Amino acid sequence: MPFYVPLGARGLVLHVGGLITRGFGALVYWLGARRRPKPTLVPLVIPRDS
Amino acid sequence: MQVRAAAIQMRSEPGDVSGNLDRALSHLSRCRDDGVELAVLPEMFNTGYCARGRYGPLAEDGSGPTIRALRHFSRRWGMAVAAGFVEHHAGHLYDSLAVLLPDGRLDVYRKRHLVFWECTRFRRGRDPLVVSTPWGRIGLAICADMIYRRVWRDYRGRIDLAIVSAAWPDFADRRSGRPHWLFGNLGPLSGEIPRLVSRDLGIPVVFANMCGETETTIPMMPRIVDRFAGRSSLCDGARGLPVRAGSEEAVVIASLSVPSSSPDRGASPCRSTSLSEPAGWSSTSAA
Repeated sequence: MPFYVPLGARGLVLHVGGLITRGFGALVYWLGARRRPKPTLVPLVIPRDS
Repeated sequence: MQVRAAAIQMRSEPGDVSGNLDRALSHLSRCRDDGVELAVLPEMFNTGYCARGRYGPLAEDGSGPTIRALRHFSRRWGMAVAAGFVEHHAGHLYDSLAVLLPDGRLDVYRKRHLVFWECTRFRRGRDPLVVSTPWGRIGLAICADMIYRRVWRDYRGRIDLAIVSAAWPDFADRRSGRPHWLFGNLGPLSGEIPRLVSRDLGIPVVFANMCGETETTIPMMPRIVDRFAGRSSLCDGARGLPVRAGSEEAVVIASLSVPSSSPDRGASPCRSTSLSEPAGWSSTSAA
C-alpha cells in the first residue's frame, strides 16, 4: 500500500479507485488541454524608416 | 532555532479571489502583530476549492494579483508566507503552493498526488520541493500528498520543517454527522497525519486546512454534502504535542523548535528553483 498510515481493506479500494481516477482524469485533462486555444503569435510590424 | 509560525484556517468563497485575498491579508496582519515569521494559508485559498469552479480564468503565474499582493506584504512585514493557488504555466493548470520569502524570493511546489475531480482539471507536479530559508530547509506538500508514504520518504533527513497546505474534507454528512461508508475514516486523519509525520521525521510540521461548508465530489459516487475538516495544527517534533484548531475559522500560532541542519545529511535530490523575478517564472516541479 502506498499510504503513510494503515487504511486496511478500505485502503485497497482507495488505492485501486485512485489509480483508475488518475488514469481517466489524465486522459480527460489531456483532451481538454488539446481543445484549449493555443496562444497565437501576432506579427510585429516595424516601419521601414524607424 | 526557534521560528514563530502560524497556520491560518479560513473559509474561502469559490470564485471570489479579491474577497478571499482580503480576508487572508487581514489574518496575515494579525500574524504580523503577533511576531509571526512564517504563515501558511490553505490550498487554493484565493479561488476557493470547489469541483464546479472554473479555474482557467482564475489561474495565475508569478505576476498575478494574489502572488503580487502576498509578495508585497511578505517583504513589508518581514514574514515568509506559503499559500495555495491555481497556477497557470505553459498552457497548463496546476494545484500549486507558493512560498514567498521576505527577501522577495518565490518558490512554487505543484501538487503531486491529485485526487478525485482534481485529476481532470489540473496537471500533476512531478517533484518534491525543498526551500532553503533562514530557519532551515522546508519541505512542501499539498493536501492528499501527505497521505502518501513516498512524499515523506523523499523528505526524510532532508528537511528541517514541513509545510502542508490543504482543503481536506471531513467526509461526513454535515446535517447528520454520519461518516461516509468508504471515506469516513479519512476526515479525522487531517488532525493525525501532521502529528505522526512530526514525530516520525523529528521535525516541526505546519498544517493549514480550509474550513467551512463544501460538497465533496468523488467520481462515480453520490456527492457528499460535508464540510472541510479544519483541525489545522502546529506540531513541534521536539515536544510532540500539537497546537490544533477546531472546525471553525482560526489562526493557530506557536513557536516551533527547528532542528539545526547537519552537514552529513547530504545534498537534497529535490529540485529547488528560486523565482526571484516574475519574468523568470518557470517550472519548479516541472512535468
